Amino acid sequence: MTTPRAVIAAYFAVLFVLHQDFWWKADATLVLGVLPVSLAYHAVWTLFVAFGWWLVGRYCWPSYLDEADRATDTPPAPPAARPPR
Amino acid sequence: MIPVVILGSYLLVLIGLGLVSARYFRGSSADYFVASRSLGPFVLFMTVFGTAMTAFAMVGSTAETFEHGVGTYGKLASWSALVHPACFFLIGLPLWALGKRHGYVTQIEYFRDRFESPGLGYVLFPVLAGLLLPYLVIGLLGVGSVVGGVTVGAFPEAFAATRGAVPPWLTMAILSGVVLFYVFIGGARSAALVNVFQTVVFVGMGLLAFWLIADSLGGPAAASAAAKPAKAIREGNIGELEFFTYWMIPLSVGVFPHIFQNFLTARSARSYKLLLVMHPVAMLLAWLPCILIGFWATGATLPGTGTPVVPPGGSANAVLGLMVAKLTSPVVSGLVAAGVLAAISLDAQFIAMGTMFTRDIVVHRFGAARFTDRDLVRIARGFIVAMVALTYALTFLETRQIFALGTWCFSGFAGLVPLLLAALYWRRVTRAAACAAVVVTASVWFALFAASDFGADRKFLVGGMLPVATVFASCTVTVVLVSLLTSPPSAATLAKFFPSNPTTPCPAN
Repeated sequence: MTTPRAVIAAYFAVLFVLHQDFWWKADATLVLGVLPVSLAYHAVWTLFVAFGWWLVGRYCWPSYLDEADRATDTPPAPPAARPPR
Repeated sequence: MIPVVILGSYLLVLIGLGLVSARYFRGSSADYFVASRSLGPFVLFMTVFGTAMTAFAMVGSTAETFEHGVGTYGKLASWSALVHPACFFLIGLPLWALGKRHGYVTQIEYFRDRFESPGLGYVLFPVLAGLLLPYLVIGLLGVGSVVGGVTVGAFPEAFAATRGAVPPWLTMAILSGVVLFYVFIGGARSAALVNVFQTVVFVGMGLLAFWLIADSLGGPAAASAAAKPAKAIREGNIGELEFFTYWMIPLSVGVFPHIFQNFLTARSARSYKLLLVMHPVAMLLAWLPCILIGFWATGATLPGTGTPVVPPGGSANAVLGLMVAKLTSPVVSGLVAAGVLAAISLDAQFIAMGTMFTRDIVVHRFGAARFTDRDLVRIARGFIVAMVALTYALTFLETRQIFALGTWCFSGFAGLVPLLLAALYWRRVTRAAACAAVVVTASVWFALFAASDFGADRKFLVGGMLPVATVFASCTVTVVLVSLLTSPPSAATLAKFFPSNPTTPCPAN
């Protein structure tokens, strides 16, 4: 596994583990007086997930798909149907 | 009467969008089934997001938070924000490439080729269609219930039995007719355009309701301060193991036939980049307002009185409707109801059913050479008409069991993910393993479903975990064990699906 892929895979693995925020499971504090702390945590966690997918698109995108795109830019015809009558 | 006018206008817009998209319909089956694989990043994102979301994102999330606290966001929305894009990237993208390379339009076409088994399709079709039907029935029932709730008193003489509300049978018939209209004339292209509009409406109306309700309760801080602290935490509302195993539920998007077909509509691989990044952000925008409305409902009182907005003992599913109706205006009630309708997208499911029947049963059984391209579109349209009629008829059955079955459908689809992942990434997986996995997954799913008294036991868990964990594990073990005990796939199949140079165009196409 190349370095960017390994780093991004590790990033998602850490996010997966951090989803289980048991340390706040009984904490009713309201962040900014509005959001329960666990809910605020998960909202921020969601944004970190979006950032992770941006990293995927930027640093470990399967570029062979783009190349295959250029090689087959005509959509394949449906299988051997007869021409319209 | 105002909500009726707003909902009627919303349905007219759908019909108008269907007519507009029909002008671009090219008449071919490729256009009808997968919009000629021509959708760009923005439309792909809006279509996939709109299709993956259900009415649960608005009505259910509010109800669940009201009953079980704000952990609802963590167990459903944030897991989906991670797992859905993972499915798009690890399953959707490779399947899109394979679909483009080999001309696949349905999952079954791929499975038949990958596992060298024409018969596998006849096993998979009833399983996939059988799990999809209750999903459609729930969508229609949801529409009937929402419209009934916001139109009470609109037609006191015509519909006295429902206190003047538009009766569910009529609402469902009208919506079925509208969906059938735009799907019939434009197929996947119509559905894509309608889904873009629906996604804007459903996210926008959630935010609007949030803003106005917060204002009515004295601002977000006052509303949160009045809410029950017991609903601000997870302890006492959901077990830690149960909370964890919710990550498996969103895996179902990797196997949903209609999402699979959405994957294939992309113009290029690059179209997926926006979908991956924006899906989690859209999840946050769509879910957070509704979660907070559900949380606030636990302590909300009518301004100037001490009367609770949600009366004690009331149905949790009515929470969003009550909060909007009692704290905002009839116009907003109508707009939010339109938002709920927009979240209930049935078009992609109907198109997927029509496509599977046409390609996986009719064409496979009688041969492609017997049909013109226009014949294929006609067959798909005919089957879609039959499915819409069947779905409508099923709404008249006893609803409790259908609702229960619906929640179990997600577990059934998610349970098949190990097979799909193995097909894409494991050269050693065999035809026997695929057949065994489908049978074992369906059997385990049904056994657990029966053990839960066919869904009546809403808190049914296996060892503290959701039943999907057992279904998922059964499928994984079956795929691995049976593959290792049976002969590997042929060299030709491996060369086709694991080419040494994947950028080379497929010679067959």
